[in-house]
Amino acid sequence: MRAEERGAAGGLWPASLGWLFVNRLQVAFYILFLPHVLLYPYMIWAIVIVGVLSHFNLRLLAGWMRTEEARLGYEGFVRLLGERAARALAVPGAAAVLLDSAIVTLDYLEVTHHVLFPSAGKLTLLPLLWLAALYLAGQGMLLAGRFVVIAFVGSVWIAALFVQFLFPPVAEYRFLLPVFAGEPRGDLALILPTVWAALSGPQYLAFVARRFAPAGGMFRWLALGNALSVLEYTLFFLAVTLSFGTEYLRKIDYPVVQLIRYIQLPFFERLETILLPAHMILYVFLDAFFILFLRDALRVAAGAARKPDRPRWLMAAAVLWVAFVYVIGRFFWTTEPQHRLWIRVHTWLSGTLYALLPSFLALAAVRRRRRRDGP
Amino acid sequence: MRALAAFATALILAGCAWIDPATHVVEEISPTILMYLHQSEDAELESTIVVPAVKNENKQVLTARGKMLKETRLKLNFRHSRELKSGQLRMLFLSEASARGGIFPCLNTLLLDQEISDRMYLAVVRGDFTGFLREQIRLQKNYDRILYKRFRHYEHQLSSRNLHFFLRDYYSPYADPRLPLFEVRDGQMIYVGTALFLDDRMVGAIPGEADPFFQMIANGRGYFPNIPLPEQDVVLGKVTTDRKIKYDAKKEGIVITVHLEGQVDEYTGDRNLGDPQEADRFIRGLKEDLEERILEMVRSLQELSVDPLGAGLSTVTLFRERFPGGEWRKRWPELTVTVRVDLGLNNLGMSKPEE
Repeated sequence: MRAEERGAAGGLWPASLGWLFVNRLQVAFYILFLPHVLLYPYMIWAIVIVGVLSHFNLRLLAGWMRTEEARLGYEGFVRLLGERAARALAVPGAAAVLLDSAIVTLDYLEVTHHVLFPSAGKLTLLPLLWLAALYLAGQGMLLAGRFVVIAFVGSVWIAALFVQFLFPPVAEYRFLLPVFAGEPRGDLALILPTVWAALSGPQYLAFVARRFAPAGGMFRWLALGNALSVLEYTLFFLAVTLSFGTEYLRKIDYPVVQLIRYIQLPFFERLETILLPAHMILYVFLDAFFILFLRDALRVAAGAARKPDRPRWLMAAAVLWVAFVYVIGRFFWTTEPQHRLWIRVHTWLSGTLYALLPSFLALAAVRRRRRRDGP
Repeated sequence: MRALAAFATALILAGCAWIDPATHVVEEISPTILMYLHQSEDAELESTIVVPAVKNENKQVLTARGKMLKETRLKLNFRHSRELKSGQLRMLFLSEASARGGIFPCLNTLLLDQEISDRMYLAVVRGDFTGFLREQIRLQKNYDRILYKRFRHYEHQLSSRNLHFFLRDYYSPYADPRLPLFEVRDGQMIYVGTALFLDDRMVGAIPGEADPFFQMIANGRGYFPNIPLPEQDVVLGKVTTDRKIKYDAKKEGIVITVHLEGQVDEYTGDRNLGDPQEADRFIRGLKEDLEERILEMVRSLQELSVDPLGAGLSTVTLFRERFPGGEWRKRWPELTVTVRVDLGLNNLGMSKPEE
């Protein structure tokens, strides 16, 4: 029996699940939002270039996930950093997870409110989303992680609907010119970090390395997920640019949603009423995943990581999560500028974490190995 | 237990009635598919809709006046027993006066309304459209649907345009929007050509006779069941066109090439088209005539300084924009235009040449 299959039987994730994780974690939030930032045709290269950078970053991540420390979970972090530092770092870690998931969730709620339920409050869907995520999180990390398959199958087909916008009569190919711009227009200092942030998300896998079966070839799976994300972003970017053109694109809040609304099947219209709820599967997965992370971070911070897990930790994490999302959504996410500010916060937070975490952990592991092997 | 939970979830998720404060049973609302806006100078905006019928009621045409679009909507609501919904709004007619006065404020309001689809057709109407609608709804109960079918059918032949395409051209620095133009005359609604817009104001129109030639160069590909050319005593049939617009950087001019294929459907002239030489001469004459007509039309567009063809897009290269910013607008009226027509007629409508 191959190691991978043994892993699956022994209650671990097979390495082949890696690409689904990478892809869905990357795409979840930015697929609706990114095309709004990339206004000019030449920015298609930004997606490709940043995609290649992300590829190398994933190599670091895969390197870390192979190390002995990563496979040990909490004990590994204690070996690397010392118990005190590990506990101290769990607090900002928990804050980052909270903020990240809150912004992602609220942005989705905002879109559904704006497009589907304008007469109901923005946070009306939150309890439903929370219950679903809590239920999933209650199944434990192993099953919640495997739910990524369903999240993937449930949402990836949306991309197929956008292929029609690559062809006339809606597509106007000349909107893609000039694709090699002599003097770049637009704020590159804003765009490159945003594209980088759009490819962030896999950094969370650094903490669940021990859940994966110890099979080789992890990096290949991660890279596959990354490549798929780049492909998806390119498809959405092309669809949006070809159908709106730069100037019109600038005026629209959610061009992707606007395009979904434009789809007209012979037997069905207003597809956004199906697509946006289908997209919610992804958010259930993400939120369950984040609630579990939050639980572990809380346990580490409280020094209870070595004690047996009890359900009250999960409950505490879930309540903290929903309270945090509610407070942000209710009091700090009411106007358009605030919305933009939060997205900016997410861009920098998530982008920084993705840039620093894998290299930091890989370096720490290398340093420890040197110290151990050295004199 | 699990089945029960699944059932309860399905119930909750499927009927969102408890989320929304109002119920939307179809008998309680009026999803209208047609709206007409009229605003003459300094007067109030007048909005007219056709209210659908439930069961044995009659369709109604309602009108309200107000300063703003949504205000008239609310007034219409007050006037009617059911709540009006615009989720099914498929057609927006604009009176010529309001089109000439600028329509962007209205369109922007409609674009922002998430209920309204970008696929809503737009059209300009001359004459008393409200009166015409009242009359037609009385005669043919489903007149609003019939109109919608007409738009859908002619989507690629007449200048049928929806909100998406209009706004795309409106925002583009290299194109100007166009809309179909109808006229209400003698109790009939007649397609009389294409309304041309500069920004959001209608500035002119292509008359109905010239409209096929305009469509030929406005769309990349086209199909025309018939193109009548009475001056040449000929009607072309089954015409397919394929046009290319290129920018000639050396001569600073636009070259429009139309590849046109079809057959002679009707010929009343006295040439013997069975004779290859005569036929050749006939085709050459036809080609020159077409080139002249198209050129004349492009000149008239340049005089109005509108570019509904999107000719400006052809000036952008892979590496740069030749006329960035608003430069294209200023240059377009002065450019020289060359029109070339490749005419391929595969059946001259006469008996075969004698062997």
